[in-house]
Amino acid sequence: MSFSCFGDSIDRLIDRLKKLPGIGEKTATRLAFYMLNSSRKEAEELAKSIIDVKEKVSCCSVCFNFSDSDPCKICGNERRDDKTICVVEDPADFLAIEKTGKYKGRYHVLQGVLSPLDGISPQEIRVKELIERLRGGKVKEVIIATNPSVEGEATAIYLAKLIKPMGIEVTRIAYGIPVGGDIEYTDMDTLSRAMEGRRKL
Amino acid sequence: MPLYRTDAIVIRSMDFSESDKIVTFFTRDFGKLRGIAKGAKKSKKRFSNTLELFSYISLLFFQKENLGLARVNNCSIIKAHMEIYKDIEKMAYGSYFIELINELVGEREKNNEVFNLLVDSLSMVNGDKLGEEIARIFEIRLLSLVGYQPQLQGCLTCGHRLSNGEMFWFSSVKGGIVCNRCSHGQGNLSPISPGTLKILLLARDMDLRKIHRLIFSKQALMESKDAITNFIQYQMGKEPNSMKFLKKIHGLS
Ligand SMILES: [Zn+2]
Ligand SMILES: [Zn+2]
Repeated sequence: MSFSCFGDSIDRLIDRLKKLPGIGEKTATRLAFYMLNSSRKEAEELAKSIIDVKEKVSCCSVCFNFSDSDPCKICGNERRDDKTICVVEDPADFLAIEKTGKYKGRYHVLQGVLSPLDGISPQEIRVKELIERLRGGKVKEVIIATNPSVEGEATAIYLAKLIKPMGIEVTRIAYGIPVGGDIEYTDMDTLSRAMEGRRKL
Repeated sequence: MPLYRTDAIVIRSMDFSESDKIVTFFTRDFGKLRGIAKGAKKSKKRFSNTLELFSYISLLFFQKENLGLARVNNCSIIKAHMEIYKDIEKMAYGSYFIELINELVGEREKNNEVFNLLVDSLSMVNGDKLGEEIARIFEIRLLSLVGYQPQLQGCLTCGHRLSNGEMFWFSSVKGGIVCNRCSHGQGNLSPISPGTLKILLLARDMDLRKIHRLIFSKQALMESKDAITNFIQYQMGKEPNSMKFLKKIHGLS
């Protein structure tokens, strides 16, 4: 704790906020003051929505996306196309692709990418579960939409090597996204084009 | 703010905000250094794929006098090492080298020879030399370049020199070999044959430009791994993540 000019409870809030990803001392202080100035109702709603996600949201046992139902709305929707599965790194990337409205198939959330430096091997992400899903024989194409980073590429190629021998087509989304870019922050047009222009792996 | 140019290998690349990246480089002239690349995630032109892990680049950066975060101005690629990420095993070996440098070389510690070793080792991984061989070569050379050179020429206790056919024992605690006679009563020793010791000495001393020709026998690979890889882990006080990763993928196949 750096200062104690504001009293313990504010300092505690700033310290908590600082632990959030991408939040430094300055931003944390600004957020804390914002909350202090906001109405009691607003503060309670924020607190409640945080507790709600912890209590109600868990993981879909089919696609491993965050969901408050199991299976999730997409896995449970009979109108979605069973023949394609789009593989993404995390729920944020799922959301970005789903928002384009162009994709009608199913998803699989890996919950990470392969990274030897971080000790994340195929066992640490949902690879085994993906392969299990593909054994059903319904799926004709797997679209790999991991990020265009070294780890994302390596994961895509690793999955392609596992899946292709099963007789399933594997494609990689085309990148209008710059290498080193991020799906989550890519605009919808670019992302739609990337889905349409996917190439075979 | 002065502007500098140096050769560099990207050893870590992390998203910092929606558009920026924080990148750790191992550079030829300044050792390990961290810099921020503004707009790296958005602009295709300025950095293209130069800031990705394992990239060998020519780096232009601004540096304030207080040696804080450098500001990446421009990069051009020297070699991208594209084959490394087509194969997670190659990626694991490349990561292992980076992890060892991260652990055993200090911040801003310039070491031209370690830099050349990393460049040549990544280049070998990118090619088709056996990963285990490159790893053993990298380990023994790095250890001697950063001052942890194990004693491999004679018994640490009695000075008995290497001779024909005689087995020795490697001790991580002592950082070298002991002869059969002096090994009694000591724990945690791994056997190491004279053939293995010979090839380790070659791997350590041979001209780096010719090192790709060095071939390890299966026995030499195993014995030197038991000795040297464990010695490094003993020095580090932990098992590197990429080593754990390698064990797991080898267990899968
Ligand atoms: Zn689901
Ligand atoms: Zn002795």
